[in-house]
Amino acid sequence: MRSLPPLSIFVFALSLLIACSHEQDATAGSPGAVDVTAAWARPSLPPHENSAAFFVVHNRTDHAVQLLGASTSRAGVTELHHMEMDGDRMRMRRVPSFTIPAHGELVLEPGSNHLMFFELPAPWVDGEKVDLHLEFDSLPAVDVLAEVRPL
Amino acid sequence: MKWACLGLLLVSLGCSDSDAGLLDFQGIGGDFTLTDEQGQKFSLAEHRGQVYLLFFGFTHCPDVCPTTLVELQEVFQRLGGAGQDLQILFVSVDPERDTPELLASYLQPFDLPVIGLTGTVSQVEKVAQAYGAFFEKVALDSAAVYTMDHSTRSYLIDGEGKVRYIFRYKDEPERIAQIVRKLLP
Ligand SMILES: [Cu+2]
Repeated sequence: MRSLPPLSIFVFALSLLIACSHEQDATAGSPGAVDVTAAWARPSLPPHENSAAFFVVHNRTDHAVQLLGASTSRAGVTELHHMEMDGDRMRMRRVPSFTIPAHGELVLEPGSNHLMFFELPAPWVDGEKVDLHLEFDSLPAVDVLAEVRPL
Repeated sequence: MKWACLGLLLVSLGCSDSDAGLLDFQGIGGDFTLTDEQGQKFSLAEHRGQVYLLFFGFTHCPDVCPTTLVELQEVFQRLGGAGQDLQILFVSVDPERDTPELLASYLQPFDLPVIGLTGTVSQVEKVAQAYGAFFEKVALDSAAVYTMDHSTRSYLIDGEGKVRYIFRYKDEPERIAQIVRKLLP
């Protein structure tokens, strides 16, 4: 019976490990940890044919999540931008990430946070759908389709 | 710039409201000469009798400028036939990139009687200063290379070249139409 204490420690450790990985599953790996809804994009405009996309990210986990980057097959460059009105002045900046608070949401909308697209090989026109690939810090990437519609 | 804002505030407070909505602004606005999207000289002084709605923007503008243009389309829908006596002036605050050709192709998709105006940086700066507007070039670590922070007001100019109302970004198209109509025949 001398071997029992080490074994019980092993079992205890194993059960902890399972509990931990299970815990991680619930917040990270399972579908619904973050949901992306209401995704849309504006049509691109000549002569530059740039565009912007908007959506809402819901964070259902107990910790803040970072949206670190995005891409699409429909643009050469995708950037995260923040825009704000300071009185009647419009100001736009590129930002490294967006934070979605624990059990909170991040809203991307015209005149505020948005994804901005450059180097479009073809114009984005009303009615079509654009694929978006969103990358987060601690969670699997999320793919969504954004419908192109007028501002 | 702070002084210009203060001045704007003071004249706004001192405005007469005689024409039921239309205002008078002392020291805001005035004649200017720029280059239109066809590459032709445009002089406000040569267009007495024409009513204009002037605003500042740039063709790389993310969504404020397109939104303003879309809302102006709604203003024209509300004006109906009276809208034929109103023209839009889109003054570029990014004249280094916004050539007449770029302005023409940017404005063409909008169903609007709009004249795109550009010039040298100092010409545009003078116009902005005269109208109490603001713009600033800001470098970005981005494919956009740089952006223009800029003010977003629109100026209603009467047939004598005087500013008679200043609209804010996102003012209701119905309200804009209501006030503009007072200047139209
Ligand atoms: Cu942007």
